[in-house]
Amino acid sequence: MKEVEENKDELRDFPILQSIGSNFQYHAPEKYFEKLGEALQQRTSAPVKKPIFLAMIRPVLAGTLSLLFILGVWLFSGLQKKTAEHSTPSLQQTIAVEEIIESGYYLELDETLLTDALIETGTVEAPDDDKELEDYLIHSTYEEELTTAL
Amino acid sequence: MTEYTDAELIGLFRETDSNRHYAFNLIVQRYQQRVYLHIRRMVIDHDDTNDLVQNTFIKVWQHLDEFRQDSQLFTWIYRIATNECLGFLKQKRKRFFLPINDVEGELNQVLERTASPDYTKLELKLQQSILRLPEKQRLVFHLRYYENMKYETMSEILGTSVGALKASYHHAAAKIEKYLQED
Repeated sequence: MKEVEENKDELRDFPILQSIGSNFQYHAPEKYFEKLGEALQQRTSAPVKKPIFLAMIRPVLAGTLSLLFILGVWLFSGLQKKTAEHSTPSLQQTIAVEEIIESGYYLELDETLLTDALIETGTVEAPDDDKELEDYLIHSTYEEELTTAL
Repeated sequence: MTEYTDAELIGLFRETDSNRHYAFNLIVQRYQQRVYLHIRRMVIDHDDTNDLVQNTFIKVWQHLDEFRQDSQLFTWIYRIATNECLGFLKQKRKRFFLPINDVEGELNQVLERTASPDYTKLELKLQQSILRLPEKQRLVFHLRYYENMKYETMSEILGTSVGALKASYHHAAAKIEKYLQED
């Protein structure tokens, strides 16, 4: 009773709440409480289920999968980093002529530059300009035609 | 029938297997209505309440051996019931990705659908106003307004200081009074 009085006193600033009172009750369906005891009796009498294998290994499985995922992410990011390093050489890096030849990139290079490079490394001999010109003049059918025509 | 005290019932529960069931049955009979109402006020729907009441008593059955009797038996049972309610409402929000307002809206609909014709308009409006409070404030309001529970007991159940509970109740009452005045 003391609590009820105290509660009323606490609500003196709230006249509507005070006037409603605390009689509101929710109703359970008929005979609900009789059946509740039986339902609980059934649940407490049932044999305790032993945890099944899957439930037991679930935490281990989850842990392993998480580790694999982290490892995968780590490896993938490492690979990405490596690829990035190879694909963007620094501007300061010097590329040796031998590397160009080995790589096959020379096909896309300017022919004269390549020839110069090959001569420089001694891979091919320097062409004899006079001899080449002489051969050209002798063997050129076009020139022959011109001479004949003249 | 012998009227056992809570301590005697706990002792009986721990004695033998047959006494265990008997004592548990008496505990259920003693507290089922209060637990039912406590949970029903929070979750509104009867079926949800039934599930939570059963879960509460099953936990009592499973853990009564570990109960140290530092507090009263009914305080301990209320604490289990309260945790069940809060857990249920939290899960409900998570499962349906609902914000707080939508859960309240849903509870409000259940309230309107299941309301007894005996309730006055003002009583129904009071219930709707209570649903607009945050969950913990709602708990405090129910325990004080409807059950006239002592703040000290509420403090044991909710793990909150008496001062904070008094303040919470006052704020809740002020909000409800304002809602009631609105229309």
